[in-house]
Amino acid sequence: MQEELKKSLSEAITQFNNRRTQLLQDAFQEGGEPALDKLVEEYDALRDAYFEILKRELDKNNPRYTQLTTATKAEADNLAKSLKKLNNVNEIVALTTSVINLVGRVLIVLGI
Amino acid sequence: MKQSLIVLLLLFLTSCSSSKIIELGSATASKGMDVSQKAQGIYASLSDQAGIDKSQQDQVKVLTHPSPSTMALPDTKAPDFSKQLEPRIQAYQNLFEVYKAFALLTDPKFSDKTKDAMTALQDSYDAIEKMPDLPADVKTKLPNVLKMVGEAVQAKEVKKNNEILYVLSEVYLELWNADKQTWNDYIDLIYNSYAEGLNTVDSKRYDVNKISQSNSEPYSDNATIILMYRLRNRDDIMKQKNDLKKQLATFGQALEELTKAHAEIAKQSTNMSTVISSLNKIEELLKDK
Repeated sequence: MQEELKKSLSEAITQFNNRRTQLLQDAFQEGGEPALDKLVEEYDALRDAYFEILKRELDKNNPRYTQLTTATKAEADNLAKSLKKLNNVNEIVALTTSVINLVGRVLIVLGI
Repeated sequence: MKQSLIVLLLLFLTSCSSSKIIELGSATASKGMDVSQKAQGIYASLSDQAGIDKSQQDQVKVLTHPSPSTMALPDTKAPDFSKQLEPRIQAYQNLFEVYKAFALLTDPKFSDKTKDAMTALQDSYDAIEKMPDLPADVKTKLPNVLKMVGEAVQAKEVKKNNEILYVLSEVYLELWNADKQTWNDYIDLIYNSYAEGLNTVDSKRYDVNKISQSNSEPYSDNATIILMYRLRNRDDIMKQKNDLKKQLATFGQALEELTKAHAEIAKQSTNMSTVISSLNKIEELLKDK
Protein backbone atom coordinates (compact mmCIF):
# COMPACT_ATOMS: atom_id res chain seq x y z
CA MET A 1 0.00 0.00 0.00
CA GLN A 2 2.72 2.44 1.05
CA GLU A 3 4.86 1.38 -1.90
CA GLU A 4 1.97 2.04 -4.30
CA LEU A 5 1.32 5.44 -2.75
CA LYS A 6 5.01 6.26 -3.06
CA LYS A 7 5.01 5.29 -6.72
CA SER A 8 1.86 7.36 -7.43
CA LEU A 9 3.30 10.39 -5.66
CA SER A 10 6.56 10.08 -7.58
CA GLU A 11 4.69 9.91 -10.89
CA ALA A 12 2.51 12.90 -9.99
CA ILE A 13 5.57 14.96 -8.98
CA THR A 14 7.37 14.07 -12.23
CA GLN A 15 4.33 14.94 -14.32
CA PHE A 16 4.02 18.30 -12.61
CA ASN A 17 7.75 18.99 -12.99
CA ASN A 18 7.73 18.18 -16.70
CA ARG A 19 4.92 20.66 -17.37
CA ARG A 20 5.67 23.05 -14.56
CA THR A 21 5.95 26.37 -16.46
CA GLN A 22 2.84 25.66 -18.55
CA LEU A 23 0.75 24.59 -15.54
CA LEU A 24 1.74 27.69 -13.56
CA GLN A 25 1.06 29.91 -16.55
CA ASP A 26 -2.44 28.42 -16.95
CA ALA A 27 -3.22 28.79 -13.25
CA PHE A 28 -2.00 32.39 -13.29
CA GLN A 29 -4.12 33.27 -16.30
CA GLU A 30 -7.22 31.63 -14.86
CA GLY A 31 -7.07 32.77 -11.27
CA GLY A 32 -4.12 35.11 -10.89
CA GLU A 33 -1.59 34.90 -8.05
CA PRO A 34 -3.92 33.07 -5.58
CA ALA A 35 -4.57 30.22 -8.07
CA LEU A 36 -0.87 29.96 -8.82
CA ASP A 37 0.05 29.93 -5.10
CA LYS A 38 -2.52 27.21 -4.49
CA LEU A 39 -1.05 25.05 -7.24
CA VAL A 40 2.49 25.51 -5.91
CA GLU A 41 1.26 24.65 -2.40
CA GLU A 42 -0.31 21.47 -3.74
CA TYR A 43 2.93 20.55 -5.45
CA ASP A 44 4.87 21.19 -2.21
CA ALA A 45 2.34 19.02 -0.37
CA LEU A 46 2.99 16.17 -2.82
CA ARG A 47 6.72 16.40 -2.18
CA ASP A 48 6.18 16.61 1.60
CA ALA A 49 4.04 13.48 1.44
CA TYR A 50 6.76 11.67 -0.50
CA PHE A 51 9.43 12.76 1.99
CA GLU A 52 7.15 11.62 4.83
CA ILE A 53 7.00 8.11 3.34
CA LEU A 54 10.81 8.06 3.06
CA LYS A 55 11.07 9.10 6.71
CA ARG A 56 8.73 6.31 7.74
CA GLU A 57 10.83 3.78 5.85
CA LEU A 58 13.93 4.98 7.70
CA ASP A 59 12.10 5.17 11.04
CA LYS A 60 11.52 1.41 10.86
CA ASN A 61 15.28 0.90 11.35
CA ASN A 62 15.79 3.66 13.95
CA PRO A 63 15.40 1.35 17.00
CA ARG A 64 17.99 -1.05 15.57
CA TYR A 65 20.48 1.78 15.16
CA THR A 66 19.89 2.73 18.79
CA GLN A 67 20.52 -0.92 19.76
CA LEU A 68 23.72 -0.88 17.70
CA THR A 69 24.89 2.24 19.54
CA THR A 70 24.44 0.38 22.83
CA ALA A 71 26.16 -2.74 21.48
CA THR A 72 29.17 -0.75 20.22
CA LYS A 73 29.46 0.94 23.64
CA ALA A 74 29.57 -2.51 25.26
CA GLU A 75 32.25 -3.62 22.81
CA ALA A 76 34.29 -0.49 23.57
CA ASP A 77 34.18 -1.56 27.26
CA ASN A 78 35.25 -5.10 26.29
CA LEU A 79 38.19 -3.72 24.35
CA ALA A 80 39.22 -1.56 27.31
CA LYS A 81 39.20 -4.71 29.50
CA SER A 82 41.28 -6.64 26.95
CA LEU A 83 43.75 -3.80 26.76
CA LYS A 84 44.00 -3.72 30.55
CA LYS A 85 44.73 -7.45 30.52
CA LEU A 86 47.62 -6.91 28.11
CA ASN A 87 48.94 -3.96 30.09
CA ASN A 88 48.84 -6.10 33.24
CA VAL A 89 51.55 -8.43 31.83
CA ASN A 90 53.89 -5.49 31.26
CA GLU A 91 52.93 -3.90 34.57
CA ILE A 92 53.77 -7.11 36.44
CA VAL A 93 57.18 -7.32 34.77
CA ALA A 94 57.79 -3.61 35.48
CA LEU A 95 56.72 -4.10 39.10
CA THR A 96 59.07 -7.07 39.46
CA THR A 97 61.89 -4.90 38.07
CA SER A 98 61.13 -2.26 40.72
CA VAL A 99 61.16 -4.92 43.46
CA ILE A 100 64.52 -6.27 42.25
CA ASN A 101 65.96 -2.74 42.15
CA LEU A 102 64.74 -2.26 45.71
CA VAL A 103 66.29 -5.56 46.80
CA GLY A 104 69.56 -4.41 45.21
CA ARG A 105 69.48 -1.14 47.16
CA VAL A 106 68.65 -2.95 50.44
CA LEU A 107 71.58 -5.29 49.90
CA ILE A 108 73.91 -2.31 49.31
CA VAL A 109 72.62 -0.43 52.39
CA LEU A 110 72.92 -3.47 54.60
CA GLY A 111 76.34 -4.26 53.10
CA ILE A 112 75.49 -7.88 52.58
CA MET B 1 66.22 -30.61 27.20
CA LYS B 2 64.11 -32.28 24.50
CA GLN B 3 60.94 -31.19 26.28
CA SER B 4 62.05 -27.59 26.54
CA LEU B 5 62.91 -27.61 22.82
CA ILE B 6 59.40 -28.85 22.01
CA VAL B 7 57.91 -26.11 24.20
CA LEU B 8 60.07 -23.50 22.46
CA LEU B 9 59.12 -24.80 19.01
CA LEU B 10 55.45 -24.78 19.97
CA LEU B 11 55.78 -21.24 21.27
CA PHE B 12 57.56 -20.20 18.06
CA LEU B 13 54.80 -21.63 15.86
CA THR B 14 52.11 -20.04 18.04
CA SER B 15 54.01 -16.80 17.86
CA CYS B 16 54.10 -16.87 14.03
CA SER B 17 50.36 -17.37 13.84
CA SER B 18 49.82 -14.88 16.69
CA SER B 19 51.82 -12.14 15.03
CA LYS B 20 49.87 -12.77 11.80
CA ILE B 21 46.54 -12.34 13.62
CA ILE B 22 47.78 -9.21 15.39
CA GLU B 23 49.04 -7.74 12.11
CA LEU B 24 45.76 -8.46 10.28
CA GLY B 25 43.78 -7.14 13.25
CA SER B 26 45.78 -3.92 13.19
CA ALA B 27 45.23 -3.42 9.44
CA THR B 28 41.50 -4.18 9.83
CA ALA B 29 41.21 -1.72 12.73
CA SER B 30 42.70 1.00 10.54
CA LYS B 31 40.27 0.27 7.69
CA GLY B 32 37.40 0.05 10.19
CA MET B 33 38.19 3.60 11.31
CA ASP B 34 38.24 4.75 7.66
CA VAL B 35 34.89 3.10 6.93
CA SER B 36 33.25 4.61 10.05
CA GLN B 37 34.58 8.05 9.14
CA LYS B 38 33.34 7.68 5.56
CA ALA B 39 29.88 6.83 6.88
CA GLN B 40 29.86 10.01 8.95
CA GLY B 41 30.87 11.98 5.84
CA ILE B 42 28.06 10.41 3.84
CA TYR B 43 25.49 11.21 6.51
CA ALA B 44 26.81 14.79 6.60
CA SER B 45 26.28 14.98 2.81
CA LEU B 46 22.77 13.56 3.18
CA SER B 47 22.08 16.11 5.89
CA ASP B 48 23.23 18.92 3.55
CA GLN B 49 20.65 17.83 0.96
CA ALA B 50 17.82 19.52 2.90
CA GLY B 51 19.40 22.95 2.38
CA ILE B 52 20.33 22.14 -1.22
CA ASP B 53 16.76 21.06 -2.00
CA LYS B 54 15.30 24.18 -0.41
CA SER B 55 17.62 26.44 -2.42
CA GLN B 56 16.96 24.54 -5.68
CA GLN B 57 13.20 24.61 -5.21
CA ASP B 58 13.29 28.35 -4.47
CA GLN B 59 15.24 28.90 -7.71
CA VAL B 60 12.78 26.83 -9.76
CA LYS B 61 9.89 28.76 -8.24
CA VAL B 62 11.39 32.07 -9.36
CA LEU B 63 12.38 30.83 -12.83
CA THR B 64 9.02 29.24 -13.59
CA HIS B 65 6.80 31.99 -12.15
CA PRO B 66 4.81 33.70 -14.94
CA SER B 67 5.21 37.09 -13.28
CA PRO B 68 8.42 37.24 -11.22
CA SER B 69 8.12 41.00 -10.76
CA THR B 70 5.01 40.53 -8.62
CA MET B 71 5.85 37.30 -6.84
CA ALA B 72 6.70 37.10 -3.17
CA LEU B 73 10.17 35.81 -2.27
CA PRO B 74 9.82 32.00 -2.19
CA ASP B 75 10.65 30.15 1.00
CA THR B 76 10.29 26.40 0.43
CA LYS B 77 10.21 24.25 3.56
CA ALA B 78 13.41 22.18 3.77
CA PRO B 79 12.81 18.44 4.24
CA ASP B 80 13.90 17.71 7.81
CA PHE B 81 15.51 14.26 8.16
CA SER B 82 17.44 15.08 11.34
CA LYS B 83 15.47 12.56 13.45
CA GLN B 84 16.42 9.82 10.98
CA LEU B 85 20.03 10.92 10.57
CA GLU B 86 20.85 11.40 14.26
CA PRO B 87 20.75 7.71 15.39
CA ARG B 88 22.72 6.67 12.30
CA ILE B 89 25.44 9.27 12.84
CA GLN B 90 25.63 8.28 16.52
CA ALA B 91 25.94 4.58 15.65
CA TYR B 92 28.86 5.22 13.29
CA GLN B 93 30.55 7.60 15.75
CA ASN B 94 30.49 4.77 18.28
CA LEU B 95 31.78 2.32 15.68
CA PHE B 96 34.71 4.67 15.05
CA GLU B 97 35.49 4.72 18.79
CA VAL B 98 35.38 0.90 18.87
CA TYR B 99 37.85 0.63 15.99
CA LYS B 100 40.09 3.19 17.70
CA ALA B 101 40.17 0.95 20.78
CA PHE B 102 40.68 -2.14 18.57
CA ALA B 103 43.69 -0.38 16.98
CA LEU B 104 45.26 -0.01 20.44
CA LEU B 105 44.66 -3.68 21.18
CA THR B 106 46.19 -4.73 17.86
CA ASP B 107 49.29 -2.55 18.22
CA PRO B 108 52.07 -4.84 16.86
CA LYS B 109 54.60 -3.12 19.18
CA PHE B 110 52.77 -4.30 22.29
CA SER B 111 54.84 -7.50 22.64
CA ASP B 112 58.04 -5.51 22.00
CA LYS B 113 57.18 -3.52 25.12
CA THR B 114 56.93 -6.83 27.01
CA LYS B 115 60.32 -7.86 25.64
CA ASP B 116 61.83 -4.48 26.63
CA ALA B 117 60.31 -4.77 30.09
CA MET B 118 61.83 -8.24 30.47
CA THR B 119 65.27 -7.00 29.32
CA ALA B 120 65.03 -4.19 31.88
CA LEU B 121 64.13 -6.77 34.52
CA GLN B 122 67.17 -8.87 33.62
CA ASP B 123 69.45 -5.81 33.67
CA SER B 124 68.22 -4.98 37.17
CA TYR B 125 68.81 -8.54 38.29
CA ASP B 126 72.31 -8.57 36.78
CA ALA B 127 73.14 -5.26 38.44
CA ILE B 128 72.91 -6.94 41.87
CA GLU B 129 76.34 -8.47 42.33
CA LYS B 130 75.33 -10.77 45.16
CA MET B 131 72.70 -12.54 43.06
CA PRO B 132 73.73 -15.70 41.23
CA ASP B 133 74.27 -15.17 37.48
CA LEU B 134 71.47 -16.31 35.19
CA PRO B 135 72.48 -19.07 32.76
CA ALA B 136 73.53 -17.48 29.43
CA ASP B 137 70.89 -19.51 27.57
CA VAL B 138 68.09 -18.21 29.77
CA LYS B 139 69.45 -14.69 29.56
CA THR B 140 69.27 -14.56 25.75
CA LYS B 141 66.03 -16.46 25.29
CA LEU B 142 63.85 -15.22 28.15
CA PRO B 143 62.87 -11.81 26.66
CA ASN B 144 61.92 -13.45 23.36
CA VAL B 145 59.95 -16.20 25.09
CA LEU B 146 58.08 -13.60 27.09
CA LYS B 147 57.46 -11.66 23.86
CA MET B 148 55.96 -14.82 22.33
CA VAL B 149 53.77 -15.36 25.38
CA GLY B 150 52.67 -11.73 25.19
CA GLU B 151 51.84 -12.13 21.50
CA ALA B 152 49.80 -15.25 22.17
CA VAL B 153 47.77 -13.44 24.87
CA GLN B 154 47.33 -10.44 22.58
CA ALA B 155 46.30 -12.61 19.59
CA LYS B 156 43.71 -14.38 21.75
CA GLU B 157 42.20 -11.03 22.75
CA VAL B 158 42.31 -9.83 19.12
CA LYS B 159 40.49 -12.98 17.94
CA LYS B 160 37.87 -12.66 20.67
CA ASN B 161 37.14 -9.00 19.91
CA ASN B 162 37.31 -9.58 16.14
CA GLU B 163 34.43 -12.04 16.46
CA ILE B 164 32.31 -9.39 18.19
CA LEU B 165 33.28 -6.83 15.53
CA TYR B 166 32.33 -9.34 12.85
CA VAL B 167 28.82 -9.64 14.28
CA LEU B 168 28.55 -5.86 14.68
CA SER B 169 29.74 -5.13 11.14
CA GLU B 170 27.24 -7.63 9.78
CA VAL B 171 24.39 -5.77 11.48
CA TYR B 172 25.72 -2.40 10.27
CA LEU B 173 25.83 -3.81 6.73
CA GLU B 174 22.32 -5.26 6.98
CA LEU B 175 20.92 -1.92 8.16
CA TRP B 176 22.84 0.01 5.53
CA ASN B 177 21.38 -2.21 2.82
CA ALA B 178 17.91 -1.80 4.32
CA ASP B 179 18.23 2.02 4.14
CA LYS B 180 20.02 2.20 0.79
CA GLN B 181 17.01 2.33 -1.53
CA THR B 182 15.31 5.01 0.57
CA TRP B 183 18.37 7.28 0.45
CA ASN B 184 18.60 6.74 -3.32
CA ASP B 185 14.92 7.70 -3.67
CA TYR B 186 15.58 10.79 -1.54
CA ILE B 187 18.46 11.91 -3.78
CA ASP B 188 16.48 11.11 -6.95
CA LEU B 189 13.55 13.25 -5.86
CA ILE B 190 15.73 16.23 -4.95
CA TYR B 191 17.82 16.31 -8.14
CA ASN B 192 15.17 15.12 -10.59
CA SER B 193 12.71 17.75 -9.33
CA TYR B 194 15.34 20.42 -9.90
CA ALA B 195 16.44 19.25 -13.35
CA GLU B 196 12.89 18.61 -14.59
CA GLY B 197 11.67 21.96 -13.25
CA LEU B 198 14.57 23.82 -14.92
CA ASN B 199 13.88 22.03 -18.21
CA THR B 200 10.56 23.84 -18.47
CA VAL B 201 11.93 27.35 -17.89
CA ASP B 202 10.98 29.62 -20.81
CA SER B 203 13.90 30.25 -23.20
CA LYS B 204 13.12 33.96 -23.03
CA ARG B 205 14.47 33.97 -19.51
CA TYR B 206 18.00 33.30 -20.78
CA ASP B 207 20.38 35.99 -21.96
CA VAL B 208 22.31 34.59 -24.95
CA ASN B 209 25.03 37.24 -24.68
CA LYS B 210 25.80 36.26 -21.10
CA ILE B 211 25.89 32.56 -22.00
CA SER B 212 28.28 33.31 -24.89
CA GLN B 213 30.56 35.35 -22.62
CA SER B 214 31.17 32.40 -20.34
CA ASN B 215 31.35 29.79 -23.09
CA SER B 216 33.30 29.51 -26.34
CA GLU B 217 31.30 26.81 -28.14
CA PRO B 218 31.00 27.39 -31.91
CA TYR B 219 27.25 27.97 -32.26
CA SER B 220 25.75 31.01 -33.90
CA ASP B 221 21.97 30.80 -33.52
CA ASN B 222 20.45 31.79 -30.20
CA ALA B 223 18.22 28.72 -29.84
CA THR B 224 21.18 26.34 -30.11
CA ILE B 225 23.29 28.38 -27.69
CA ILE B 226 20.49 28.30 -25.11
CA LEU B 227 19.77 24.60 -25.63
CA MET B 228 23.45 23.72 -25.29
CA TYR B 229 23.61 25.76 -22.09
CA ARG B 230 20.55 23.96 -20.73
CA LEU B 231 22.06 20.60 -21.65
CA ARG B 232 25.23 21.42 -19.73
CA ASN B 233 23.16 22.53 -16.77
CA ARG B 234 21.14 19.33 -16.80
CA ASP B 235 24.28 17.20 -17.13
CA ASP B 236 25.85 19.01 -14.15
CA ILE B 237 22.79 18.33 -12.00
CA MET B 238 22.71 14.65 -13.03
CA LYS B 239 26.42 14.37 -12.31
CA GLN B 240 25.92 15.73 -8.78
CA LYS B 241 23.11 13.24 -8.26
CA ASN B 242 25.06 10.29 -9.64
CA ASP B 243 28.23 11.18 -7.70
CA LEU B 244 26.26 11.17 -4.47
CA LYS B 245 24.55 7.87 -5.31
CA LYS B 246 27.90 6.37 -6.28
CA GLN B 247 29.30 7.36 -2.88
CA LEU B 248 26.45 5.47 -1.20
CA ALA B 249 27.05 2.42 -3.38
CA THR B 250 30.83 2.31 -2.84
CA PHE B 251 30.42 2.83 0.90
CA GLY B 252 28.11 -0.20 1.01
CA GLN B 253 30.75 -2.26 -0.82
CA ALA B 254 33.47 -1.07 1.59
CA LEU B 255 31.33 -2.07 4.57
CA GLU B 256 30.78 -5.46 2.96
CA GLU B 257 34.54 -5.96 2.49
CA LEU B 258 35.14 -4.96 6.12
CA THR B 259 32.66 -7.62 7.23
CA LYS B 260 34.40 -10.17 4.97
CA ALA B 261 37.79 -9.32 6.54
CA HIS B 262 36.38 -9.84 10.05
CA ALA B 263 34.77 -13.11 8.94
CA GLU B 264 38.09 -14.41 7.60
CA ILE B 265 40.06 -13.43 10.72
CA ALA B 266 37.40 -15.15 12.83
CA LYS B 267 38.05 -18.45 11.04
CA GLN B 268 40.14 -21.17 12.73
CA SER B 269 42.59 -21.05 9.86
CA THR B 270 42.73 -17.50 8.52
CA ASN B 271 43.64 -16.97 4.87
CA MET B 272 45.89 -13.93 5.00
CA SER B 273 45.55 -13.07 1.30
CA THR B 274 41.72 -13.03 1.56
CA VAL B 275 41.90 -10.47 4.38
CA ILE B 276 44.53 -8.38 2.59
CA SER B 277 42.47 -8.44 -0.62
CA SER B 278 39.40 -7.16 1.26
CA LEU B 279 41.43 -4.42 2.95
CA ASN B 280 42.93 -3.32 -0.37
CA LYS B 281 39.45 -3.19 -1.90
CA ILE B 282 38.30 -0.96 0.97
CA GLU B 283 41.19 1.41 0.33
CA GLU B 284 40.35 1.54 -3.36
CA LEU B 285 36.62 2.06 -2.72
CA LEU B 286 37.13 4.86 -0.21
CA LYS B 287 39.56 6.79 -2.38
CA ASP B 288 38.21 10.19 -3.47
CA LYS B 289 37.72 9.86 -7.20
